[in-house]
Amino acid sequence: MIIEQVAELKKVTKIYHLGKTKVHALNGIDLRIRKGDFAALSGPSGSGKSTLLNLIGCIDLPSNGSVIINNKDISELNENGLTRLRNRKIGFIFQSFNLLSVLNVYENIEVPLLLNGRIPGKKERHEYVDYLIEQVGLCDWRRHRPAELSGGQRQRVAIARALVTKPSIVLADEPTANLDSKTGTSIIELMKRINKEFTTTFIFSTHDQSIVEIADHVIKLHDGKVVGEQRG
Amino acid sequence: MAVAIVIGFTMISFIHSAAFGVMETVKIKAARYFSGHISLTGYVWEKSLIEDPETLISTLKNMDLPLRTIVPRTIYYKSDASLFFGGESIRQRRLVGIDFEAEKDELSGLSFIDGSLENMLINGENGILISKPAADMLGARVGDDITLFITLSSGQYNTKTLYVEGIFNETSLFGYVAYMRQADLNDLLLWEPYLATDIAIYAEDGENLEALSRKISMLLADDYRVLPTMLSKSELYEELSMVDWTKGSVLAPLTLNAHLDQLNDILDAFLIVTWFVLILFILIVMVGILNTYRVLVYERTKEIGTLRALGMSRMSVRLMFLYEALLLSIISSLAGFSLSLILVEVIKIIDISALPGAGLFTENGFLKPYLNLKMACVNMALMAGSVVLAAFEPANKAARIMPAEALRTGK
Amino acid sequence: MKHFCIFIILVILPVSFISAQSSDIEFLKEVDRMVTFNTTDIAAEYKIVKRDPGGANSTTVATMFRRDRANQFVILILEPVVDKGKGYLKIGDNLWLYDPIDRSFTFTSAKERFQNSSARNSDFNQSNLSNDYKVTGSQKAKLGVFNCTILELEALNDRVSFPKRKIWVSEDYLIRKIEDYSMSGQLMRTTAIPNYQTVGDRWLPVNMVILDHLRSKRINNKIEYERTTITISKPSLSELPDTLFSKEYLERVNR
Repeated sequence: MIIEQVAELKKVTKIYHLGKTKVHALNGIDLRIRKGDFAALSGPSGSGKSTLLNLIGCIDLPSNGSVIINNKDISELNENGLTRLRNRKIGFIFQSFNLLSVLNVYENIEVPLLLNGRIPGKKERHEYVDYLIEQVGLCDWRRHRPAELSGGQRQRVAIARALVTKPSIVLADEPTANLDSKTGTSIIELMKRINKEFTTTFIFSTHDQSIVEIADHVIKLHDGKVVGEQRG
Repeated sequence: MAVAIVIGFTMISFIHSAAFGVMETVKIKAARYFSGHISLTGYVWEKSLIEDPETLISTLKNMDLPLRTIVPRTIYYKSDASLFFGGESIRQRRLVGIDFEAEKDELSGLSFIDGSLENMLINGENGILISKPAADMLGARVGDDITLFITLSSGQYNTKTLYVEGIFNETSLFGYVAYMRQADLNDLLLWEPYLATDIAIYAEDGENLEALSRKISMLLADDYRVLPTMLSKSELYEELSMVDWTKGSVLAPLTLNAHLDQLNDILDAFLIVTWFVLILFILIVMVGILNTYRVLVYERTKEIGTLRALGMSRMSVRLMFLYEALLLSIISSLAGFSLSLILVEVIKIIDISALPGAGLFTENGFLKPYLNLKMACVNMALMAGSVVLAAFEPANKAARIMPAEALRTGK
Repeated sequence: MKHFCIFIILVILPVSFISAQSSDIEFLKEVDRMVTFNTTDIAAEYKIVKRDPGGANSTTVATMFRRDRANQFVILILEPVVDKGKGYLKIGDNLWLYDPIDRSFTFTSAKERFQNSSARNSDFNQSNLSNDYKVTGSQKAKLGVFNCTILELEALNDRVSFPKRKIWVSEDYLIRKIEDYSMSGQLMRTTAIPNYQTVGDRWLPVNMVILDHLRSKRINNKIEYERTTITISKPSLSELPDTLFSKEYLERVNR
């Protein structure tokens, strides 16, 4: 059986320059993410989790090495190419939700569909967004603005938004950090369900050990290096 | 930011409407004073005279041109015309002999503090309309008989007793003039009643007077010796000095702009000031927009990062800010335009006659501003262009934000 | 007989007309002669007092130098102080006004008011009625103590100030009163010359009163006109140097 890879990192290094200081965020990472993975990046603060997610998400470029997403080396893509890749193949879920405060639930979820050309027809958009709203259990909240929602509800909106373009990969940076444990668990369970139903690859970073245990692919990071990898 | 644009646009629209109103007021007064939008003066051996004005008017009326009024006038151009009353005398810059019935529509703008145009139409014979400064100087009122003193072309004195039928309110350089029946002035000059010195031609609104004058000259050229349309009076006099009078009389067309040649310097200066103020306002608004947008972009860094992460291109980010600026400028400009409409109505009722020189630019001491829609659109486009230009640098900066960095910031 | 009468009428009428015309011209020539100094120069002091209707007086004192045989005169203003040094120079038909402040000469017209008074510059010319006017009517009347011939005159040229005049001439061919009219027949000025003085074998007015009918005001139910009184004194027939009738003289006097 051929196992499809959605993301591969080969000897990836990322160095940040803070004034005269160089910060080695990642040091020669080799990593493979399979399609349908529900992968957790674990490690202490400063271990490079967010940096790794940024590189996979194509919102940053490696200093050395190559990042291959859906068989495309992202260093061969120009800015527009990276933007298109992000829009069509990658979904983001942020720690602090990052919803647009002037748009309601429906509109927030719809945003990625309206970016970067190839906008689907209104009916098609409408149907799919409504479907996702239903999937995340926010049917009664579709016209509400983020300020009127709880943390958990906002994160559900973020999840729906991340899925609206039917991406190959959804990246979640500490998705439950701003939520209480019960809500956090329900969010992870939602992500897991979607992962199972749509075989969408999820990669998320977390400190929470209980959430790590739900993942079927755990990557342990420390000082910018992969120090452990487990597939369960 | 919106408030700045509203205020800026209000001021710009108001200033422009005042400037337009001033120009229009001056042109209307000047047309009355200088014999229409295009004056056709006849010269016979350097002396002003049209020997057959009726035929000339008939020829002009038969031309298919946008001319609304064509009337004869006798104008006493010498500056020694004097009015005498009550032991006082005042010189007039010119005397204008008019066919009041034919020209009444064009004269309807004359505002009277006493008497009326109707008086001249009804009682007209041996009547005279004098300006307020003349009436004040002489201590004359409507109904008084004043003596008009002129010198004939031979240099001899002649006088006539005339009755004041109206005192019109004009204090500027267009005020040192008296209007009387053409027949009475011809009689005073010992001329036949049908003679004239000028044909006053009033064109339809918005016509290019220079082009129209050239057309008239061209069409008259078959039957008359017509001088080219000059750009100023001094050019005309120079041209007249070179005419071979043995070949007969000539007609000299002059547009209002040529008559106003000396005044144009003042009007141009006025326009320059209004443009200067406009540019100043725009610069102030631009600086405000630039600073505000820089702060705005900083405040929305995280939002920009999110949008970039979701797949918004750099160009789209740039355009998003520029469209916002454009929309803001259009809505604010419209609000400013509405406010300026109110301001225009307010200024119309304020008497500014106390201001020096106000008589030239006002009617009875009141400005007559009007909002030219075309100018408003130009101003709106200028404002929009300036605002977009000012927002360009911050928009560019927003577009160049690295998503990863943006998402890292607290904002 | 009938033809003879017609012949007589046809001959006599034009002859009498022509002789009437020529007698009018002779009359005017005599009037001119009485006040023209053809063989000598004449100088005198002129005091011109103008009174506005119901208003203030203003006084000008000037010295007048005249050479009638050459149609020249010079007037030098002595008072008021603000006008001192101003001068008028007439040579033939040219009349200049000299401004001592600008040190410039400007052409002026004989028809202009003299120093803003009721007098005109042409009033200082030598009398030339016989050449400038034709008689259009005459009658006899008494003017005060004088038995006068009243002549109605119409201008023959454009040089004169008034196109129509009426003069009262006493039996000694001296003008006692003048009425000046505009072309339309409106009375513009009245001049009264009650007294004359002999200067050599000619006459010079002692005083003249000019009323300007265009400048009048009703005061206490009475019409008052602008009034100018000219008093002529200290006449002299001494010969004047030729250089006096020149621009240089006016400039020199002011240095």
